[in-house]
Amino acid sequence: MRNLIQFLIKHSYWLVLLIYLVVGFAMLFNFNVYHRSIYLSSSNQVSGEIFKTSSNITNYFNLRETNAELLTRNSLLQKRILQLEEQLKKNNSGKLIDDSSETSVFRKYNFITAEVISNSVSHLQNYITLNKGHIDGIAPEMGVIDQNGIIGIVTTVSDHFSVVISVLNPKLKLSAKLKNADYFGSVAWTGESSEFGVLEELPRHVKFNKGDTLITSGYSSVFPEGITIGYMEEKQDALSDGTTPIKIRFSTQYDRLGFVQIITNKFQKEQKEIENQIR
Amino acid sequence: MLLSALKYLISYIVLLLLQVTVLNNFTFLGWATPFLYIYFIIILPTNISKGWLFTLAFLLALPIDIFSNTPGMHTIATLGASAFREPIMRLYFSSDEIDGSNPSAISFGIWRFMRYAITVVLLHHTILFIVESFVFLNFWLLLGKIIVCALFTSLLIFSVETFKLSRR
Repeated sequence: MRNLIQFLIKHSYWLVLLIYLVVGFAMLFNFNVYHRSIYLSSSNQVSGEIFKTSSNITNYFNLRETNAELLTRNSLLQKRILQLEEQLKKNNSGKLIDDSSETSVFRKYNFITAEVISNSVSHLQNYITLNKGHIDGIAPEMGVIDQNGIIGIVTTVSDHFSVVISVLNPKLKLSAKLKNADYFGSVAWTGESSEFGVLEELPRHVKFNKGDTLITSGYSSVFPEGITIGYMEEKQDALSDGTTPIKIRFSTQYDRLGFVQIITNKFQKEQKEIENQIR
Repeated sequence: MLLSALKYLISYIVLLLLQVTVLNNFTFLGWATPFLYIYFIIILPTNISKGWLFTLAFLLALPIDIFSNTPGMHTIATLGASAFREPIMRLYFSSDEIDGSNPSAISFGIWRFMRYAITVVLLHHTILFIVESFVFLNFWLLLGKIIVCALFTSLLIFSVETFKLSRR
C-alpha cells in the first residue's frame, strides 16, 4: 500500500494527464449533450461578448462587398416587384393576393436579422455564432439564410447569442429540388472545399445542365420552398450502392458572412408535433 | 520569477484571443488554418513540472474548444503534444541545455529551435486532425490538412521568433 502511494506521488503527473484526457474524450464522445450546453459552446456569454467585439472591428472590412451584394439583390427584387405588378394588372384582378388566410406564406414565415460574430469553414464540422438569442425570439431548429442563399439551422440558443449548424457540416442534410423540374434530392457537405457540396438521392434518369439552380424543397418545416442552395456542377463517380452523387457549387460564400436572416415559422411546432405522432 | 510568470500570463491571453478571434477566421484554400496557440506550450520553461505543463495545456486548449465549438479535440491534441514535449527536446538538445532554460531562438539558435517547434507542431496537428476525422476519413485530405496547417503555424512561429531576435 505504501509503495503504491509512493508510486502515485512520484508519477502523479501522469495521473493528472489521464484525468485531463478523460475530460477531453468525454467531451468528444458526448458531443450532442456537450453541444446543447450553452456554457460549453460558443453561445455562452463570455465568448459571445468577445466575438461581438472582434466582429465589430472586422465587419468593416467586408462592408464594401456586402453593400454591393445587397444592391444587386435589391435591384433583383425591384425587378421582381415590377414583374408581379405587371402580372397583377394583366389578370385585372385589381385586388392584392389574399394574405389573410391562416396558412398563407406571408403570415407563416417571419424574418429576424442577425449578425454573424464567429464563423468557421476549416473544420470538418462547422458552426456559426450569431449575436441574437432567446430574447430576440430565436429558438433551436430555425432556418438561417442570407441574401445569397441558405446558411444553416439554429442548434443552441442562450439569452443573447445562438449557435448555428452550418451547411458545411456533415450532420446537416438539406432536402433540395431542381428549380426547373420537380425532382428531389438531399444536399450534404463532403468536408473538402467550402465552395462545393454534393447532391444525393436524385433519380438517375434526371437530366440537368451545368449551372441549373437548386432550391429548398419546402418539405421540412425549417425552410420555406424556393431558397437558393447552389448550382449544379457535374456528376461524380458512382458509389458502391449504385447511386451517383452530383457535385454542386454553393450559392453562398461561407468564408465571408456578414448579416443573416433567421426564419421563424409560426407553424413549425405544430408540424413537428403531428409528424412525431406517426413515428 | 514573478516577472517571467507575468510574461507567460500575458502571452497566454494574447495567444488565446488571437487564436479565437483572428486565426480561426483565417482560412487559406477554404480549409487551412494556423493554430498558433500551441506556441505557448513550446516556449514554456524546460524545467517546468509535468503536472503544471499538463494543467496549463488543459487550461489553454479548453477555452479554444469552447470558442470554436470543437468538443475536446484541441484539448486532446494539446495534451498529447505536451506529453511528448520532453522526449522531443531530448531528441534535439543536450541535457544541460534542457536544464533550466526557456526554449527560444535566442537560447537555442533559430534553426535548432525551429526544428523542435516544427516537431511539436506536427505532432499536435496530426493528433488534432485524426481526432477530428473520427467523423469520416479521407486520407489524402487529412494528410494535406496536417502538412499545410503545420506549415502555416510554423511560419507564424518563425516570424514571432525572428521578431524577438531582431528586437534584442
